[in-house]
Amino acid sequence: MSIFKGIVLAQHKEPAFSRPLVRFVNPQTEALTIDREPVADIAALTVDDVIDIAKSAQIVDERDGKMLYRKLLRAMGRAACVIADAVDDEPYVSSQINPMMKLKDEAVGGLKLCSFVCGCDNVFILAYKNITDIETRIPRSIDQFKVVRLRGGYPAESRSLRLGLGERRRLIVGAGALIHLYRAVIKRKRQSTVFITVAGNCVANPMNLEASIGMTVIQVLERCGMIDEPTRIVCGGPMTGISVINAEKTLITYTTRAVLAFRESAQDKLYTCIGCARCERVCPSKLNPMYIKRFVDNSYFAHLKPFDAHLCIGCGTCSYSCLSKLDVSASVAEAKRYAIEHFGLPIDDEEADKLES
Amino acid sequence: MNLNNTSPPHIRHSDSTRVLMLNVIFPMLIIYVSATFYYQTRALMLLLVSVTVAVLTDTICVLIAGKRPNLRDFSPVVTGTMLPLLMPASIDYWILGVAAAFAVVIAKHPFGGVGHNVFNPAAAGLAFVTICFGDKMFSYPIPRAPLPVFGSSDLITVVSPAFMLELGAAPKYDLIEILTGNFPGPMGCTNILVILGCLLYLVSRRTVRWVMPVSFFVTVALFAFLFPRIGGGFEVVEDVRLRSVLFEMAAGVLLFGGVFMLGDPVTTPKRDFSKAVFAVAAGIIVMLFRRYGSFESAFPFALLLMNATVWGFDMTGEMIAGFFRRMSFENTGGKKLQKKTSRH
Repeated sequence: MSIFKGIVLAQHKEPAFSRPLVRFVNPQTEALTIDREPVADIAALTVDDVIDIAKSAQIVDERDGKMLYRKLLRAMGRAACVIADAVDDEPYVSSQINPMMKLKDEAVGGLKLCSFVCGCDNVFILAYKNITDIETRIPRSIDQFKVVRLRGGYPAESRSLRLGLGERRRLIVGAGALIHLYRAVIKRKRQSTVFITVAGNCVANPMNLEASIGMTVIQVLERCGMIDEPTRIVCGGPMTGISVINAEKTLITYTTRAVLAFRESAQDKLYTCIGCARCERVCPSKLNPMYIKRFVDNSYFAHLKPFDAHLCIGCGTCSYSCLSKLDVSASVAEAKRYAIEHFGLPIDDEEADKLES
Repeated sequence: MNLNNTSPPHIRHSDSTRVLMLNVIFPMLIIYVSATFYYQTRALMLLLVSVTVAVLTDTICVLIAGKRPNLRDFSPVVTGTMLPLLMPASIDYWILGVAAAFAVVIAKHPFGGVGHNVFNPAAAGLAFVTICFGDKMFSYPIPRAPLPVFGSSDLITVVSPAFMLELGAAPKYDLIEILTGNFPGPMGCTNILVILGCLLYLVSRRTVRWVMPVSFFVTVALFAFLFPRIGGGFEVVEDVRLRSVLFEMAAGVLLFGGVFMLGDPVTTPKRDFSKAVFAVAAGIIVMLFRRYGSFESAFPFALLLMNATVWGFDMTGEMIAGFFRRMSFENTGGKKLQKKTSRH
């Protein structure tokens, strides 16, 4: 079997990547603090204190939507390495690497706290290698922590993390959650903001924002200016994000990492699948999305078992590469739901956690 | 604000089905330049007739099926462009029309149209007219001889190297003539250098996977080397074996078919190792048909036979891929889904 190297995507991270991180916060929610005494000496904190503060501050890890204190509890004294996730391998999105570089003291502080909870010294920051169009250089290390660059095409993040980076017992925390953990410990702040990238061909000033949770998508877009009326607004990255139907009622949540606004010409007329099998060649899980789609389209769900649809990671590369512009990934997602519900097939830790949560 | 609600991903690769088909049509047009050099304006007239019939019949079939014709669907143009290149330049226009119509009406649309056909339409059309009009199909005009645009009754036609190989005789053409296509044969299948250039183009554009033509040609060459048809089969010297490889590759539609027809994405297996095994099997069957069959043109029949087995290749490939996939998954820490997470 050939080694999958991912698909090469134009990154379009500039100018948002190099611009300063702008605060766009609601003063009322920004003032919320946790009900605890200020920490006088950080060295006097215990592991339980850190976890308790993370729980009180209601910090959610933006990379997987899990409560940070639960992840810390699970990793406490067990994780052999701590990884700060600043990968951002999807085009346009730089809402992890940008705060990691612009607010590095807070991010590194949060990383030290996680390392303290886990009781391990193997700590590093993960960033994406294949970003060629950026003006700002990503450093080799931030503070004392080494920045490990993930090579390969999209989806580098999920592929590399699945392969384990050489270590299964690990704690991976998003850059935003690290910053919020540090703020909670030092400034007693509850998490009321998230870091998002606002970009797309309708946005006048693409930038990274620290926006309050609960703001509407249209507020965020108007903060950055609009040069054209968009035909598609996406919450999340362009490969995995969700289309917004009503921008005035859709809110920024804990896991929103980007708001993208695009104006597109009319979509090409849809073709039928010609069986070119490009989806099969680009699938990082080595699935055969073409056959899965055909089975789903014909409602042959009972025959899906040998196709292992439950191993799909939802990266969207099959749809991206489809010459006929079909929604292959939507069919595979449907097959995955069916497979997990009806076949009871094995899934990995991360997927099991998602289902549990 | 009118917003589109679509599922992710929200960006797409710039390539499309149309681009894929144009990538096949473009190199065939280059072959038409070479064919026009040898067979004058008639080559272009054959192209015009074939494409017109293919597009018209395709449109009629689409309308009968109750669908709207898609002007960006170039699949009938691909079939129509391919067919004349597989036939002698002296072929009657109506025979070409029958082949094009058969390819579209019988081999393509009854199975569901583009993307669903089990058999390669061009191979089916060619096989049909080969069976029905064998005498016309295997009489070739001499290259560069004057060829009338209309009518063909007073033409001097000769046999091709494929027929001589069928008789066990070595064709009397030198290497330069073989490479440049200066010998009688199907209109677009003789110019080896141009066809190999087309193969490089198709592979570089990712229209054809390299594994298919490489596996196929290596199998054919090996078979021709080990079991040469020329020289009577006794006291075979190495020179005869090499000449056998050269003539077997150059004769008939094998080279053109290996480049343009074998790699058809619709009628071939999907996974690379399935493709490789499929191409090796196709190569062996072509050579067996050539050796023991009655027609000098074995490729379309072998391809049609192999097309019928694609599903089996795909499912076997899927079983093998699934075995490695699950093994890799378990190695990276996969675990059994807990009962509590199952909703049933």
